[in-house]
Amino acid sequence: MDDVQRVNDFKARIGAGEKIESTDWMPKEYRDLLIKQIHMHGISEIMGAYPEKEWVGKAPTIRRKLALNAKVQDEIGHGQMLLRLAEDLSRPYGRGREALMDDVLEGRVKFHNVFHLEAPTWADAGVIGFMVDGGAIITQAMLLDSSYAPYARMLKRIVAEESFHMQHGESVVLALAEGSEAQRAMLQGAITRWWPAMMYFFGPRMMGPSSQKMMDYKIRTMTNEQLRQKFINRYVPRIQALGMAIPDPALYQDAATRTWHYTDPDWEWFTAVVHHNSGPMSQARLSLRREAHRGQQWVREAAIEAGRVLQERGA
Amino acid sequence: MTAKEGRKEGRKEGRKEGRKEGRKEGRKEGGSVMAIEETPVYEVFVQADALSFPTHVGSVRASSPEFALQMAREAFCRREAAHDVWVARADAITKARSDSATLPRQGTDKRYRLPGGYDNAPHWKRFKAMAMTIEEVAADMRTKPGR
Amino acid sequence: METVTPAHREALADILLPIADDAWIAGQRGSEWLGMAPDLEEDLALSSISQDALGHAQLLYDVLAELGNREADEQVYARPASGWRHCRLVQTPRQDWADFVARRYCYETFDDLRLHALAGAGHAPLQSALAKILQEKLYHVRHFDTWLQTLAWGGTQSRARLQEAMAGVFSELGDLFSWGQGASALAMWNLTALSSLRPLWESRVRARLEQLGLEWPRVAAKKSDGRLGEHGPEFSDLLAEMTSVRAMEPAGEW
Repeated sequence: MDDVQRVNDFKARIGAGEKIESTDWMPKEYRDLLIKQIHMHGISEIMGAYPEKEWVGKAPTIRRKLALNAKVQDEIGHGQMLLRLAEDLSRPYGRGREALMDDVLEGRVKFHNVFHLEAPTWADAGVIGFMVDGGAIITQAMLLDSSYAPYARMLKRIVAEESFHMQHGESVVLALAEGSEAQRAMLQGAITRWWPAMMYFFGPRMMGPSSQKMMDYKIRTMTNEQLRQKFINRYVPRIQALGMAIPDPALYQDAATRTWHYTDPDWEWFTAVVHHNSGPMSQARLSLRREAHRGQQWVREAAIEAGRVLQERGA
Repeated sequence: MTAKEGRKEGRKEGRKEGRKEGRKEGRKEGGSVMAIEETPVYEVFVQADALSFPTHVGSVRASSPEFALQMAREAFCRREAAHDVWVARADAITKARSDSATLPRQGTDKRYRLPGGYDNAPHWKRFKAMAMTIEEVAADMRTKPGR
Repeated sequence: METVTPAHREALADILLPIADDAWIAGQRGSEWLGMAPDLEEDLALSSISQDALGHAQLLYDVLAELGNREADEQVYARPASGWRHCRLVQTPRQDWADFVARRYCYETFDDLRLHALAGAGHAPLQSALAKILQEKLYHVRHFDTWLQTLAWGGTQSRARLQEAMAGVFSELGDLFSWGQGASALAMWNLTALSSLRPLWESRVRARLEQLGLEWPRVAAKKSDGRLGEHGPEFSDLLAEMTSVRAMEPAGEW
């Protein structure tokens, strides 16, 4: 069978709703799109640990501390599961965990715009759970139908855990909304900070060629704009119900089409942040990741060596 | 630090830390650094309770079977207890999907070996007796003898 | 012990507070490793262990609260630095992995012995808390022991780093074995075994180090006693950070 025929057969299988496994033959284009998507998703989970990690040590109650610690742990856990998938897909390229992690440090893989930003108050920790995790659930719920079965399976687990994150974030937000003037002001500050970032989160109105191809291959099934509309529709009434302002005077819903109109985020600025790691916290968080990964390469090497010694001793 | 400087520093560090050549996944990437040795992968199977079979849930990287068990517990059993956890080196597992000859597929009619392939109830009815099902037999076993 | 007199209550607080505070500070410092562990899998393990440690402290604070002491959250957020009874070993901020492994191996091994010795105390709420704690402690001890062995067998460089870290940690061990004000309380609860844990700990750790071909470093005499509330400015900073958010509305809901 020639390659063109093979690719066409593959596309037909996907068109018929079949799911693909890691050991199945797949076109290079499909493999590369999956690697790009899952690698970025996994790395975003890992980089997402840093803005919230800062608040574990300062959490205001024992319960909040335990929950936030567990939440950050889940993010790392999702990163671990997703990287394992990306690693398996990258095997034909001879690339494993080490190479995929090096990609972050050397700017070869991007991570979500939200994790380049500052989280200067406790309310930010809550709003990240409430809005960022809420946004992530919307994206991931779409991916549950992905044509790549290992990704869809793993996402089932991830979405279940994200729903705890959203509940936790909501609980923090609600406590602040029910609190003192100072607590409410802190909450408003965080919502004002994160709203434009959430408008960027789902990507440009017009999707790029690779996002379009991901739709063709049914890796994803909805457009950026469809996802953003779902988000706005869900969050606007809730934020307003809390008596909080949304920092967008142009925001309104068309009564006839039910479409939300909103002010565009600063596309250029956010895109530069993501592409060049030039956000306010990009370099600080990358240097934490570098310290963990490169700084402790000796530990991983020692563990591999010790594993060999153990095996030789038959222990 | 600029991105360019960062990359340069990365390479320097890579050499300093003694990246090794010729190891398992060692391979030239973008003509710059040699990949360092990867920690082995273990596939993880969790048995939820005594009456369930162990089910594949994912995989972890670990340097020994002991660590693989510890890491499997962390990666996949953070919320719920398990009856047992198995780990196996990923390279020790052979899968049927890559060898179509051995992959079980629906071929010829196998209804003769399935309970649904039989229709005894109307016949029993003709003899004025009740048909039996495995569920009803199992339920009967749970009641006290003589009932 | 059926009737708990006020004197008994006070004595039990003197005994349990150092144990609870050790666990809390170990959990607080352990959380500094989030996102910073040598690999992703270990990050998950450490986070669980930190959550467990914080949870153990909470269980013991709850036992103390039932005895008429302040509530768990008050213990953590409303106590002055001088009221804390943890030791130096758990207070030191995050350093490198060899230090952490050496440090936590020493602490977990000691805490395990201490908790087992507490089984002699006839106080039902404490025993029920202990049953839960000991189950998780088993895993903590195992985890750091596995790492100790791993770094010992991980090649020349790794072994040297571990040996050096162990020497550093031994120089901070002094007040681990102290009971501060609790020394006289132990007899009231038939817990005198707790005052002689040091030789037990030393023989267990010495045997393991020997087995792994590691030298036994010198244990330095204590310079200050955390069990008496002496923690230095490093802890005041930690406490200020830990309580900073709550300080905004100390009596509010969070």
